[in-house]
Amino acid sequence: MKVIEPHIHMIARTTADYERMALMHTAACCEPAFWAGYDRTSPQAFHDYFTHITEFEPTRAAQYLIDHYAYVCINPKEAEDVAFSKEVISFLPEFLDKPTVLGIGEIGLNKNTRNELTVFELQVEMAVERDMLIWIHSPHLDDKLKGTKMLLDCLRSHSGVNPDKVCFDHMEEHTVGLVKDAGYWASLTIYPVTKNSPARVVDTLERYGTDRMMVDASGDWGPSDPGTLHYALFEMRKRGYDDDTVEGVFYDNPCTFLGQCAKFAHQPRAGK
Amino acid sequence: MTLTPPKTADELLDMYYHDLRSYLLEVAAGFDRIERAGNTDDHRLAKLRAIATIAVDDNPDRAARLLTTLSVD
Repeated sequence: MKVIEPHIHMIARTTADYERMALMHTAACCEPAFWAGYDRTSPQAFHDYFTHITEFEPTRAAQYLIDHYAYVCINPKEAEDVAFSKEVISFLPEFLDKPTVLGIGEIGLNKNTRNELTVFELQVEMAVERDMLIWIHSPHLDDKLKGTKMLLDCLRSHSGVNPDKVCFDHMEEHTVGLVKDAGYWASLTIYPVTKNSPARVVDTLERYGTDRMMVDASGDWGPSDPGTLHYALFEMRKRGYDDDTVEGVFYDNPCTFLGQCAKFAHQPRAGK
Repeated sequence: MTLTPPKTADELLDMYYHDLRSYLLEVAAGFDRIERAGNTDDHRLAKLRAIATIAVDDNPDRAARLLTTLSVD
């Protein structure tokens, strides 16, 4: 059974994690651009970061037969300064043209501010102009519901947005229905404490179905583990679901979403 | 379309009984821990008490209601 990891920050992981992912049959992974744990001090620092995730990480992943893809953006945690953000946005096209970049992400909201929303909209417009994928970061914890509603309202006002090409990440029980009802993709992030557990991921799949749903480990520099994606897969099998249904969630669905970008090399299994 | 759980409620209870027992025990011990240290009027403690009742009430969608209760307007 093959697996696609739709969201992980490999820049923060050791090579041993690539090896573990390969041993667990991960065929490809996607790395959206995000916060480094500190605010970058210049737009040039973002340029260096984007170079890293579009040049070095694909090479490192290839040693373990994993295809590495990326999204680039100015992330919501560093988007409060609109002028600074515009400088970063000015050189996004240089990276969007690279062969492993699938779209713009992870954009969204952090503290649900007006400036964050302005920067989000600028990047949505760039993705729409280029007909690229959009990977959305929904705020964490107590700000998630309000932020998700703000993002949905914002996208509703942009007529050019194709919901097929937009995924809302870090969805939980109180937000996933809103996103699916609006026609977007939803991804369920597994984190040891602050997001979903493997069991809750399977609960949500039971409740909302597998259509337009993905699962990710979102591993980064904090308490997280690329292996949790595979724990969720195992949880689904333990709950009695057949391998065809499980592989549909963990391989076919990400292939369907990501395959809307011609640069993505994997396809769903035959007939899926 | 929702998925039909392949396992029965009894089978699921068998699978998760010890996990759920453990999680509830952690909650109880956590409240004891804070009380032993002199307690506090921090509003987060009241929030935790409120969501604890949701977790074990008799109505569906407990997880969604619990998260909504914690959400800012």
